[in-house]
Amino acid sequence: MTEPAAVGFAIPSASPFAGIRDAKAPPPADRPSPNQGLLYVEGVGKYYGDRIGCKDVSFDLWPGEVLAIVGESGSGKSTLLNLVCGRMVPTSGKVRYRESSGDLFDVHKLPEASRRRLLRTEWGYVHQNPRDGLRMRVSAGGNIGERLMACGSRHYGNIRKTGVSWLDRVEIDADRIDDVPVSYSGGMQQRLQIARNLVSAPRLVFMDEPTGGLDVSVQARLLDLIRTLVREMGLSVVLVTHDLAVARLLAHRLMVMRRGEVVESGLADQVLDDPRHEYTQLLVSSVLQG
Amino acid sequence: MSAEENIDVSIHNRLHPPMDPVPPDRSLADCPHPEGRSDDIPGKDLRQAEVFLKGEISGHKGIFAEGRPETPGYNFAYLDEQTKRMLRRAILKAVAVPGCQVPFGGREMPMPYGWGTGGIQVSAAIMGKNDVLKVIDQGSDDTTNAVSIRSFFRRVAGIPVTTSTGEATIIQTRHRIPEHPLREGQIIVYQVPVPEPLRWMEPSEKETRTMHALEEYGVMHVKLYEDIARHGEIATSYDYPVMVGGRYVMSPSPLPKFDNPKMHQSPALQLFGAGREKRVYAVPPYTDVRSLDFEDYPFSVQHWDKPCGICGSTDTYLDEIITDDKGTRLYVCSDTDHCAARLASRKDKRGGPDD
Amino acid sequence: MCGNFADTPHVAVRGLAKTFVLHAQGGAVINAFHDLELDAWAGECLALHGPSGSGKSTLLRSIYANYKPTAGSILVRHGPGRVDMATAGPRTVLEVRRDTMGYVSQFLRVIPRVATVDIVAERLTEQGINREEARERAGALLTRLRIPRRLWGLAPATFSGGEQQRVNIARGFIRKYPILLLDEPTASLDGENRNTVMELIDEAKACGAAVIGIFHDDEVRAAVADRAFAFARHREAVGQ
Repeated sequence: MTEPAAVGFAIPSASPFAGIRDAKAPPPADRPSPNQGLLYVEGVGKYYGDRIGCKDVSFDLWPGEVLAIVGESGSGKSTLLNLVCGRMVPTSGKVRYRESSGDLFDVHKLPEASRRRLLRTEWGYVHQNPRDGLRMRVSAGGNIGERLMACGSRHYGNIRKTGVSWLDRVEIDADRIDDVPVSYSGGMQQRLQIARNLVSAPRLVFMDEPTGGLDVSVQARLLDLIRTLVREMGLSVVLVTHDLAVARLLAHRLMVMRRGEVVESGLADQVLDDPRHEYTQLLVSSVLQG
Repeated sequence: MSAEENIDVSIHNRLHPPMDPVPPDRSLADCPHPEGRSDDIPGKDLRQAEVFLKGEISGHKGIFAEGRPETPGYNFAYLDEQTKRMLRRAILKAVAVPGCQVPFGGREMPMPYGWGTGGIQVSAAIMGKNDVLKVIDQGSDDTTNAVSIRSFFRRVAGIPVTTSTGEATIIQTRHRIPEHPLREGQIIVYQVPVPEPLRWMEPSEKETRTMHALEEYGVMHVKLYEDIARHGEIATSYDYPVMVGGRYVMSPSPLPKFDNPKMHQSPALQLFGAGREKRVYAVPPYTDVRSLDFEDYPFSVQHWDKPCGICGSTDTYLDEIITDDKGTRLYVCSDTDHCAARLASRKDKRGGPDD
Repeated sequence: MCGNFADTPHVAVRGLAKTFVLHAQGGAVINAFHDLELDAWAGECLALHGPSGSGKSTLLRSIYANYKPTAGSILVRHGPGRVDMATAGPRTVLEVRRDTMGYVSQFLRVIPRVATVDIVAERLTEQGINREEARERAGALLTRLRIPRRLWGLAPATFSGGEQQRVNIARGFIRKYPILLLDEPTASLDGENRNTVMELIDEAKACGAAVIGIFHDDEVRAAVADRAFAFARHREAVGQ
């Protein structure tokens, strides 16, 4: 991110506050504190020979924050997401994650077993295509219950009860619990994928174009659902999208990527309403007005 | 009890289960020579040998065929010594890591996949001149597959064969574990069609290996969950997944779940061979073998309302057979040896001086 | 949130400048304003006054950190301390917006599918007030703004302009923000509702809020504003 690491405010001498700045004031909240951040991405880059997948990206994420990475296809946003969630190993830089235990781990130095355990407990990953994130031949209840069973749940009745309550939360009729996802509409599949991820009450969820490929009306419903769940559960989300409206609705902060580099970042509505970089202005002005 | 006496215990009235499908790409080595010359067909001597041995299907018990000279031109037990050593190394590794699938360099056998090539290779590798072999298929000693394999080893190894569970040192089986309890020193060799228990959930071999390595077995319960969701109970009745030694989830091949408890803490060594996938795995004697289940849907075995129609047994695995054209059904023991032995002992008691 | 800070202004703008660089138009530079200074004190309403295009909205948006100023500072009282909205990072800005600063824009940015009453109540629930109470208070305010109860359960996307504007106002006034920014809150409102909004502004002032507003309506401005800040038409395009 381009913003300064520590945001002190230089108070001009003419300021009405000059000299009265109290020591009691809490430290500016943007200064990274060792106990607050959930995810620290530091100078992460990925090169394929001479070709840049993504270059020197840094950001951190706190509990309850939603960060959107926007850009056109090929801008490196998906590469970045893969690097951050540990599926891809960066050429440079590192990604650290604070486990619920409070310890900070280098995601890429974690043993594979721990990383996979994270991905089914404290993390979630919502794929653009629900087929990549669901077991299409397993019933909705089984899809939702898988994480519970992977974490040691061995009581069928309880697993099913949880499945029913999650179907309700993602607005799918409980009587569809034994149906396989192939019989679901695209929007329902995506909602089921979200339920399957959130059932383990993750702390960090990665979303790759979660509303891509859906009808506009279905998109709105899904967006609202994601927004509600993120708030209710206090989720931290790294969201990749090319849709600026999605970013505006869901994200607190925004990073705009082009050719593997972050060209602009900051408060979501500020970047969208007052874009400064040439490329961001182009992106914003290209949005069709609904 | 005249009904008892009238029932033919032989294979001919039994409903025969379908063979495992033969893969379409099976080797040309199984085909006769195009010009019809019989002397260069692989396994010529075996093909020309008599298939049924005298007395074999007559209900004769005990070691009914003594060892005989091996067929010339073949190494003892068909496989060459190097191959056997390679297999034994794989088997040793499998025994050392109970339930873990170990790959081996499978050989072409003179029979198609699905007929027990994995089990045969394992049997051949562990066989010694003093062994006594029993082969069963669906619990029966006299189905085609069992008869052929027994005959094969009698020819190429020259060892004695038997139908008696108690007398055998090596028992090669498809589908069943004999009802007669196994003892120390015995080895039971299973013919396995699909060794990977995770395959149903995960098509990628790389992924299933990782899952085994990391003990990620949550998906096995997803399979059982699906069963209950669809059928109201765990409907998986064969190839029911087990946890071996608290570490590896293992597929017990097409075994009915009725036999799962027999694997637990068995005094015998259990070896599993999959010919098509070229894997062996093992359960050493006295190893924990637990069937996966849910707290509220505990594992249970099949029960039958009726006793065996032949021997009257109430604690054995029963096959349903149709005895006439009118569709009359009869439930009989699937383990023919056990059934016959039980029947014989009942007859003995009846015929005794006290009767 | 009522409080008395007689010694320092709630909002102090110093040397503020904002320029827009339009890359798509050959890097054209538009100066919205420069060297702008103003104070807004607790309990008063400061009206921004000036012709259309003079930068009133830009200033309001800059104070809300919706726009990022080019130079200068915007110090706002936030809890026990002060925050410079011109340089504060996103987390601080969001915190200020949550706890300190309310903003009523000209247009309601509609959130799809969310019921009107929840859009208003959300401002309370995000502060930790339980859903039932939040809805009750939202309902009371909507009633006051004459949004019929039958509309409460609907998303405001299909509402008329005036109705949407009143939902927007309810969202801004449901909380007692110490700082309230109003961008033409009474545009497209009829007389009755205009009076209600003026009452709400007076109540906020009485509670110690510093209100900065743009009012197109002279009558409303005269009624609620304590002071006016006049914008000259000094927005100029500088070719590049």
